[in-house]
Amino acid sequence: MSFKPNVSEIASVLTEQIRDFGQQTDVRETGRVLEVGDGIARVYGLSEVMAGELVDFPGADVKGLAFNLEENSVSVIILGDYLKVREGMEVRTTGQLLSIPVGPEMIGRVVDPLGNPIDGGPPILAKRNRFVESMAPGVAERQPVKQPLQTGIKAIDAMTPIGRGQRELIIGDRKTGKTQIAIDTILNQKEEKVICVYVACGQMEAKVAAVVEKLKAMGAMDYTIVVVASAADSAPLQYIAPYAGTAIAEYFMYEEGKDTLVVYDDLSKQAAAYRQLSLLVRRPPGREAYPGDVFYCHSRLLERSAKLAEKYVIVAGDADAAKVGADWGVNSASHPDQKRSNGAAGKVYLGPGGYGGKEQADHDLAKFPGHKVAKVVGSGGSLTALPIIETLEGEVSAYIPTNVISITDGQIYLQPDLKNAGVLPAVDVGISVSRVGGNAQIGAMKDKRVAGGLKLTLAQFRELEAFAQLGTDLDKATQQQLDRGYRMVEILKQGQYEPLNVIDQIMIIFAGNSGGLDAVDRKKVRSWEGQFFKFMKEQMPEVRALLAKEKKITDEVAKQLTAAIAAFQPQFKA
Amino acid sequence: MSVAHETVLEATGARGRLARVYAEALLAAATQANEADAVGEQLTAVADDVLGKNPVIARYLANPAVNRQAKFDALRAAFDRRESGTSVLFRKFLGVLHANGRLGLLRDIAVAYQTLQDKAARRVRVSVRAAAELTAEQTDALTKNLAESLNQTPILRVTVDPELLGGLIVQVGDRVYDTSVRSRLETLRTHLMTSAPHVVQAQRQ
Repeated sequence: MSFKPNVSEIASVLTEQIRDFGQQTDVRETGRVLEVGDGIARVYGLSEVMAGELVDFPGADVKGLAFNLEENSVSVIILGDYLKVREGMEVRTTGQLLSIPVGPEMIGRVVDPLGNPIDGGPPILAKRNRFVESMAPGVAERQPVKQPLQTGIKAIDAMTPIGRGQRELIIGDRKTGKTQIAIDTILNQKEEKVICVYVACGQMEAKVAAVVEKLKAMGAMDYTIVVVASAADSAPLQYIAPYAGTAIAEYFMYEEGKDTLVVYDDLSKQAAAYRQLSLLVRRPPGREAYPGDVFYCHSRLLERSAKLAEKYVIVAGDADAAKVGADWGVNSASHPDQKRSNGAAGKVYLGPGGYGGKEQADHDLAKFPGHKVAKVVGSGGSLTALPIIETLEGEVSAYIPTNVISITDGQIYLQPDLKNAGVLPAVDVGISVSRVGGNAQIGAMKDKRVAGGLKLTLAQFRELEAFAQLGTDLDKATQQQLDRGYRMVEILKQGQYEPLNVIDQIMIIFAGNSGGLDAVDRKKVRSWEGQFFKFMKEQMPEVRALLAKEKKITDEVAKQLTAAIAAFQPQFKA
Repeated sequence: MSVAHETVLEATGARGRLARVYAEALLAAATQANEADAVGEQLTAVADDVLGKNPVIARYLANPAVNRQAKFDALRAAFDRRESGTSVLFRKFLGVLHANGRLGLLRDIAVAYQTLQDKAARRVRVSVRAAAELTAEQTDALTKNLAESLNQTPILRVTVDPELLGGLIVQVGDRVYDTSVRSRLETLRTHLMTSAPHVVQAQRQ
């Protein structure tokens, strides 16, 4: 695109600026830098500064956050290049909290925790800003987690399902595929219209570059934003990166009513950055030298994940459903059965059902013939969080892992032993749980004939497997249970960057559970799976369509699936 | 004494706290004897003119290796005469400092004393930076204005800084009232820099 600067336009902007350049006095609160180092400045003065306030170092062109207010000085964490800050330099208060640009303009970009692009692209012209630290939504604004967030990973969607608005921890040793699960989940959101934010905190730049490259290659950057505070960035930036990523996602949740997914990769490094800051400003160290409020540091972050309640209003019958606002309600908030008078607040029904929700709205609608109940545009968004924690030698009882395990609604535990044994993703289904996701699973997956009893079956299989290693003779039933188990383990294996549609997942797990693979060699299970999907797509699309429509394993669906599996068996080329 | 130096003296943790304790005690004693101002002047004179200009003396007094009796004799020789112009109270104070081994804090105490005295008398130190020398009327007007708005007696310290290009920068404590042309130009510059991409974008559309 060619671009010639329009001189007259720029001149007119300048003229306007100069005309408005009034006689106003610039009043500011100042202080001076006493000492600086390691991303922290100790500042004398700033007597009226507030905790958490944004301060400006005009001489160094960087900003900071008032972190510790002491008797004679203020400790400021410097957001940016602290090497430019010198002793004696002036510091100013701004009266503002740290905020970053947010909005649809950010999609597809790689930014630092302050919202500046670092992907070499043009400046981001966001029209909105959001506070990096903001309050989590309250009880009334939320609704229970009910809608699934499909990760596209069989082992997770079947046994530790994740719902929209849930916080599911991914925990494991180094090199067990934690990031991999998060990336696959992002890739699987392509058709789900979920906005994804990947926060890289304390990661190697090379690893982040590889992730971004992969997301681009798979077309996932069309709905993804990457926030990077790499290992080379200062501790303050690593500390705020997760909050910044959440703020970016919150815009889509609160303002556009969209579903969002945020991956924090990883929170153990953020905790280490926070520990560094806290120790440098001489806050007392606690367990493992972490400060006392490291729990709050993570809990306030993860509380910002939510599934927001939908809002409904009763509007005129011909109102445009794509524009309905919260102030469109025709009935009065205090007397819902009466028309509202001019200037009074309209009734807003909060939540999908029950008292005060959509059911109430449908009930009240009877008093307003010719009207309809409409959902307020931009309500009902969600923010799902996938925090990642790296453990040392499988030590989950360390401080940070126990903290985050207790905050989140479940965890996916990755085992190096499983990875070494070739089980990928290396999810330990025995100790991985999802506390709220069960409600979110679609009916077909929950069915006893699919994933319903899968966890128990696999647990029994592992016990038998250990027993069988003793070399004893096994009876026929036990041998069959073992064979089935081996094949289920094979079915749950999945390659990288190959997220699978939930309908396909259901079909293959159904096939395994119904014994369709018992006769197949263990090493050929993956190839059977591939050919089976191809067969179902090309020769039996109506079965898949029926399952996708019903979303339940009805007798008809079960019959057709069994028939399809039987029809495929002779076609399988080992 | 430069501004930066003052801040460091006042802020440095334990020394600052100790100095404040001594300054408070001295001010209380001086107020009782009705010579708060005189003691303040003597303290500032000793701290700035004697110790400030002769670092050797400051080091000598602060050095714990010097024999206490020798230090006492030196102090007595210097101050215990009518010609030294010091009051009895001030000389006693020096004695107390010597006895407690805190002579090294003298300059910190002088700064703390001045701050306390200003606070008690509702005086406030105001530093004014101006682009050009202020006329007497301008200074008077500024003093009057400040006295009204601060509800305290301002003590102006005016410095001339041609780099401001025009206008004034008035600093009261941590608060800065800036009307200088220089900083307004700087504001304009950052404003133009930040709004430039939006203007360019508007052009493209």
